[in-house]
Amino acid sequence: MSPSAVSLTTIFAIVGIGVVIGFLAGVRRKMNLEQWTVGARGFGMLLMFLLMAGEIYTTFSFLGASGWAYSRGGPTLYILAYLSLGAGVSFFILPHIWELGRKYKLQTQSDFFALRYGNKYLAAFVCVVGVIFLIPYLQLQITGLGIIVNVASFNGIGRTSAMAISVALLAAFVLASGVRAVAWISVLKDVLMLVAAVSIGIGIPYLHYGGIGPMFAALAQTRPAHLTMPGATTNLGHSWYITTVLLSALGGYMWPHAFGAAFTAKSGDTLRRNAIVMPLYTITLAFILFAGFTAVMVVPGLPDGDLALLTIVRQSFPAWFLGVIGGAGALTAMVPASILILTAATLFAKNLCRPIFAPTMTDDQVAKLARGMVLVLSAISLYLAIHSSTTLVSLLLLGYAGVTQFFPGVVLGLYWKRVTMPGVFAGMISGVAIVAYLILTHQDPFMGWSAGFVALCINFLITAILSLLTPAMPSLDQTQN
Amino acid sequence: MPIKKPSLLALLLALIPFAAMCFSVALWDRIDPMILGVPFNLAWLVCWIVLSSLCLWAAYRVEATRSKDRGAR
Repeated sequence: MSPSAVSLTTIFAIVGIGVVIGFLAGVRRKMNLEQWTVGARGFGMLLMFLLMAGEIYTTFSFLGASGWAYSRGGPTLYILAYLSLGAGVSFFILPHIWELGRKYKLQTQSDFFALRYGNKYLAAFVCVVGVIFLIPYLQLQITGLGIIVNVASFNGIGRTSAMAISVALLAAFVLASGVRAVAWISVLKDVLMLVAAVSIGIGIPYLHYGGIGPMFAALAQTRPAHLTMPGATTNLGHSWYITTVLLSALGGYMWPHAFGAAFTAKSGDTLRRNAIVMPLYTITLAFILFAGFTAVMVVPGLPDGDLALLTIVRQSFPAWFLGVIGGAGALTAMVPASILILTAATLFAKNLCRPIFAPTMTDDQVAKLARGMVLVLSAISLYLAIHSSTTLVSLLLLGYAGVTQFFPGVVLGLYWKRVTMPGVFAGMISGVAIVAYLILTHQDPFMGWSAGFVALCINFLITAILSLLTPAMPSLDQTQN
Repeated sequence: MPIKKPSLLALLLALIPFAAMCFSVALWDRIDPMILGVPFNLAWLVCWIVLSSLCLWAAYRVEATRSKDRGAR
């Protein structure tokens, strides 16, 4: 067999095993809306960790992180920091969200806003913004899949057809299973990802330089500026680092899917313990950075940094191993992509269509509409992935800038009695508008700060001031009882 | 909203990693001294990934004892 046939067969075998595991996990359960979206709120510590790790460590960590180590250098370190710090933020927020979820039967982020602020337009706005900013994240996974198949086929299969195949597979998979299947595939994905990260992180520097130490010594000698901030860029310095780490850490669990994952837990305590172990998973990313930094010297001059990891793997290892890495990479794209599609489709049907346009819909009709939306969303992201040339990290940062604007509404909603609906609504609208303006006019970073963080500060300020100027809202206990 | 505030000690424990991995970047963002062959900034962050897990564990212990005390009362 030719090398491309070997690597492609390996990838398809791995993805195939993953899909079978997923189908087996969901096969004996009746798929109503509650089971499909929140797994009937029965996830213990292990499944919870798998689901969270499954959705947080995506193809972004795999190809994007190494791609930035290759093309930007030092600024890529922000990725090591924000994931751990985000776990710390979740420790104080998610258990309370879970508590409310159980008490008031919440399934989505939008449900939380509807409950806390009692306004269906605010909830619908949260839903629309959430779905809009999930799309770049979904697009990122599809682009990653395209890169993997393209490189693994030794450029035999074009990116566009690779992406089309993967999207079709994804949509079929999401329709047939649900959130529990996704958590179980994470088992395979996490094991493979760990093996892949450690073997390429140690193996690639060893093969080319005789070890990690000599590799860094060589890089420090030839390109010393590459290893610190701002690295190969001019505008990603320390103030960018601080504001971006804060933005991403605060926003990490504001993603509709990460927020919604809290509802699948068995208890609030599960979520707290999950937050403790979450940072440790990030260590695998350090190994992936090693490979990215080696690529700077071994395969210089690539047109697209996101290609760096797979190109150097292809150059250093036999074809079957490229297939294993590619398969691991494909699963790290497919698992989160399934969750993203599932979340966005449910949000659209349950929190936008039903409350605003068709209040008489039953749960079953909502589930049916959500399944239709799976196809629509897959098509939109495929279209965007084909027609865009942004790097994976930039796509993710765009999403983070958007969803972090929910943070004031969530954290103040939990901890500040005086916060009001008009305050949160106005703050969020301004935050999202500022993000859209600064990013569309290419002013990110803005005066050295991450644009999303600038928007978040203004959002907080407006929320606080307007809340104090408007009459206090009755507390939830009084309105419900 | 019926939320009990986290204790100050737990919050402070969770803030330590923020100080170490985020705000203090100017102090540790350099190559030398390399630790086990890894540039200082990268080694520092990896080290703090483990330590931040420990900080959260400590915060968890603090919160757990606190709710136990409350339950006993």
